[in-house]
Formats: sequence, C-alpha cells, structure tokens
Amino acid sequence: MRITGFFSLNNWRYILRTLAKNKIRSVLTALGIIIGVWSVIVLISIGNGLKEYVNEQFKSLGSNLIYVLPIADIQGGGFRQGAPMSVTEFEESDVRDLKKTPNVKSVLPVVAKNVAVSFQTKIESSEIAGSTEEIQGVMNVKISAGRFFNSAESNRGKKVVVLGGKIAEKLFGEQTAVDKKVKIDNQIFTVVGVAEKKGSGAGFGSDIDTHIYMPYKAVWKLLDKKLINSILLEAPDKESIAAVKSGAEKILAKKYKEDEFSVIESSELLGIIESVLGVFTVALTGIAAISLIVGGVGIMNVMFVSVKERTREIGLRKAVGAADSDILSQFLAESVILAVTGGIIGFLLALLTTLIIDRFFPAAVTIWSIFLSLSVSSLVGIIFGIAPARSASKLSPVEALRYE
Amino acid sequence: MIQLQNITKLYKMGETTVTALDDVSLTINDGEFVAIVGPSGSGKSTLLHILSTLDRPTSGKIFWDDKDLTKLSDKKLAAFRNKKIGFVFQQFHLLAKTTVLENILLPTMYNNESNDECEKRAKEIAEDLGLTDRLFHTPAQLSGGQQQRVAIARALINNPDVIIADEPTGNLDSKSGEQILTILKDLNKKKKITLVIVTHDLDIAKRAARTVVVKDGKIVKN
Repeated sequence: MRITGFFSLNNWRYILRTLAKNKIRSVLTALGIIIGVWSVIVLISIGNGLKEYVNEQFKSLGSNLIYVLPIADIQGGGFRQGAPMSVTEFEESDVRDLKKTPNVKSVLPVVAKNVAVSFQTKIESSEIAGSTEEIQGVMNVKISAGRFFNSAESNRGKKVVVLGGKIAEKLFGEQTAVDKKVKIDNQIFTVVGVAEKKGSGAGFGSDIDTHIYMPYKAVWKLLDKKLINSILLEAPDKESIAAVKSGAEKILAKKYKEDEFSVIESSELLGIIESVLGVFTVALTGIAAISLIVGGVGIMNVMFVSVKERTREIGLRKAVGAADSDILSQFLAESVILAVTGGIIGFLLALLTTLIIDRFFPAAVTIWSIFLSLSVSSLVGIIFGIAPARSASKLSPVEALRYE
Repeated sequence: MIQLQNITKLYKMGETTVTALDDVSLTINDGEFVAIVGPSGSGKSTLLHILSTLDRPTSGKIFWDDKDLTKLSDKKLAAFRNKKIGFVFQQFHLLAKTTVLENILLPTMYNNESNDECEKRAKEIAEDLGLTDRLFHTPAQLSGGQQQRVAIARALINNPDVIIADEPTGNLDSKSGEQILTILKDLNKKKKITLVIVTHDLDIAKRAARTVVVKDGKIVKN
C-alpha cells in the first residue's frame, strides 16, 4: 500500500522540482523568512548571552553580598512603576553606621567613575572601582603581578592603582606595569599591581578586566568631591543575608526616606538585571519578528502567482483524480517548504553571526532556538500559504483546463 | 454502461441564463466507440464534461453501471475519475519539465498502488505506444504526435473503463492525427475500452460505431 496524495514520494519530488525550477524566485521569496529568523535568533542569542554573562558575574562574586544603592523603590524583580530615581549620595558616616549592622562581615564604600587612562602615548577608557583594600577579597580579585593596595594606602587615599588584566595589556603590552606611572584625568597614579584576567568578566555591566581598583579616597581626589555611589555589605553566610539586609535597612531608615535608598540582595539584583534584559530582548525580538510577517506576505504573493501560472496543471490534476484536498496540500507543502528552508538558512546564518559576535560581546545560541526557527517558519508557511492553496483547490477543472 | 437521463445544464451570465444542454438523455454501452459531433457552441463539450464528471448538471441524473454519480461528493467523483476514466485532450496538457514517464504516472499519484507496480505498467504501456526510448525526455523534446501518445499512455495507466477524448487530433497534422486515431480505435477494439470522442471533424466521426449529433443543446441525431 503506497502513501498517496500529500505524503507520496512523487508528490514531494514534484514539489521540490517545481521550487528548484525557479531558483531565483524561490530564494527571493524565502528571503523575508531568512532575514526574520536570522534577526530573531541573533537577538535572542544576545539576550541569552548577556543573561549568562550576568549570572556568571554574580556567581564569581559570591552570593552573600548585599547592595545598598541610592536608587528608589527597587522591589522584587524591578523598579516600581512611576517611582522617581533618587539623587541620594551616601557619605562616610553611612559606612560607619552600617558597620554597626548586626552580623555584617564587611562594609565597603564603592565609588565608580568612567575615566580615560594613559601611559606614554597610549590612551584607554576604563571604569574605576574605588573602595577599601577589602574589595580584593569581596570581589575575589587575584593578582598576577605586584600586589593589591593595602589598608594604609586606602586610609590615606594614596594615588595607587591595581590595573585589570586587559587594561594593563593594552597600555603596557609585554612590559611589566608594576611601579609604572599612569595618568588618569591629568593626575598621576602609581601601578602597584595587575589583576588576573577573569575572562568574560565579572563587573557591573562592563568588562572587569578593564577596571582599575584604587582607594576610594583617591577617587575623591579625581572627583574633587567626597561622595559614595553605593555601599557593599557582606553577610557571613547565606542564612544571615536576610537579617543583615533588614538590619541595614533599619539603620539607613533613621537618616533617609524610604524612596531615597534600596537595599537588595545579589539574587534580587540579578533578578532585576535579568528582568530588564528580558524585556529588552522580547521588545527587540518582537520588532524583528515583523520581518517574518513581511516574509510571509511575500510567500503568499508568490504562491498566488504560482497558482495563476499553473491553472491548467490544476485542471489536469483534478481531471485525472486529484481531490480538492490534494491540490490544497500540494500548494501548501510548497509554501511550507519555502518557509522552512528560509528558516533553516536563517538559523544557520544566525549561528554564524552569533559565533562572530561572541568574540566581542556575550551571545549564545540555545538548542530550543532551532525548534523555534523551524516551528515559526513552518507556521508562517502554513498561515500565509493557506489562502493561495485554497484558491487553487477551489478551481473548477473545466474552467482551469480552458485557462489561457 | 453510462446513462445520462434528462440532463440540463444552465450557465448564468449576469442577467442572462444560457442553456448549454436542454433535457438531454444518452446511453453509451460498454465497449462502444461513440463520436459526439456538432458545430461550435452546440453543447458537445458541455455534454462531454458532464459525461466525464468534470462538471455537474443543473438537473438530471448520470448513471455509471447503475451507480448514481450525481449523488457523489467532489472527492468521490475525483476518485471515480481516477479509476474509471482516462482523458485525452486536444492540447495534450502534459506537465512541462517533467519526464514522459512522470507524465504517464501522474494519475497514479492519487491511487493506492505501489510505485514499482505503477512504473512497471507505465513502461509496458509506453512500449506498446512506441515511447520506450523517450521515457526520460520532456514534452518539449517531443513532436505533437508523440506528446499525444504520452497523453494516451497517461489515460491508460489506471486501466480505465472509458477513454474520453476531446478533439484528440485537433492540434496534429493529418498523418499524426491518423496515427492517434488508429491507436484509439485499437484500444477500443482490442482492449474493449469504451471510447467517447468529441470532434467537429465528420471524417473522424465516420470511423465511430455511433455518432451523436448535438445542436443548440439538444441531441438531434443518435
């Protein structure tokens, strides 16, 4: 017993040959799907890559950290709608007060600034992470050359820096950076150490291997202002996090209003970042998906033309025994094959693009994106192929055979 | 046996109604060779289309071996045509850029036989019709006579009871036309396949066992 109609080998052979007959037309028709699938997969891959990147960052930092930020109303997974951004800046007294938090292991002020750092003729941009010497332990900074700055240097605000591995490489190449002088915003700093590279990085949105660590009081000399951007608390263990967080909130509430600060665990912060990334990914992917609709319209257009061109063939097939459903399935199959082929090509191009992007920016194709591209392109083929296929199936055999 | 009983076919053309067939009745026996003739616009093609189930009558009944075809759905009629009727058209209606063998096999796409059996039968039919060395050619590589022979082979692939030919020699020169007619007559005579030909050519009509003359939608001579 042979499978007939839609699934017969001859049918599929004929359909593939029909599409191959007009190669240029088939490729141009599938182009919309190719571009649509490509852009959707690339954007999802970038979103996935960023999420994985952020996840790894938080893992390397450890999960016992609590962030005190001068940002209002961070709750649960994001910013409270309508809440204004606070302009609070913390003070040294806040750091002293927070050291009284019950069970807290460490309290570190953090001062950040984007700077241009230069050595001789080379200039690079970097982000300063200014804090106390304790930041080495909290951020798990390993030293590849020299040393980290010490407590005396931290207390005095000495102009010493520990360069991230990548920034040291860019400024100094093969030569040692230790004991050399670098210029940051026209001020001279001495390099005391170089941090080991962490690979993909473990920083707050930027590559940590390009960070520069220095005493926070030295950053004040650059800023000419004594401000603290955020405060980092470390709980002794996972079980104490909630208690330390609550204690810190009580202490700060004595001085600040509720909407002037937020105290969040690293898992919460991770959730916020992932949520924001997720929203961006979905929004951009949605925009990219519009090109899939355009691609589908293109397929529908070409299939209508194909039905017109093959009217007599349809009449002949009906005369020799094709039912309406046979004709419908033939044309629908052509539409689906076009769309799925576009989906496969789009996916392969997206895979290649992601591999290239990943060299510069986190991006990762997931296994389910294969199924996404195949299923979405099949769906587009079916949705936009059904109308022309139906019009073909409804043709009268007599009129179709007479068609000029 | 094919029986048409009181067949009327009306076409609505805007405000006007055209009567293509007016209360026509006709019986065709198994193994007969019938020619349907008539001037242009007489309704002979409409009669053929209804006889071959390509079109439905506005009123009346069609019986094939006592089976009322007017009650069948479009899908069942398609399956019926696939098994019982072979078509030969004036314009051949072969699929371009498809080989002769594939053209012959076209009706088998809609039945349940195995590929190997169908291909074997196709080659046998092609051999009988002198097409063996053309099996992998496309229609563009064939003469008109050869193309019509491919169409005949296609019509025979499912062992039909009836061959319906609509002006089968209309697009051929006289020599090729004669060859085609001989082939069709042989099929009728040797294989006892009922043959119904529509033609405006009275010379061809004379070769048939019976001539049905259609004029103004009515059978005026049978």
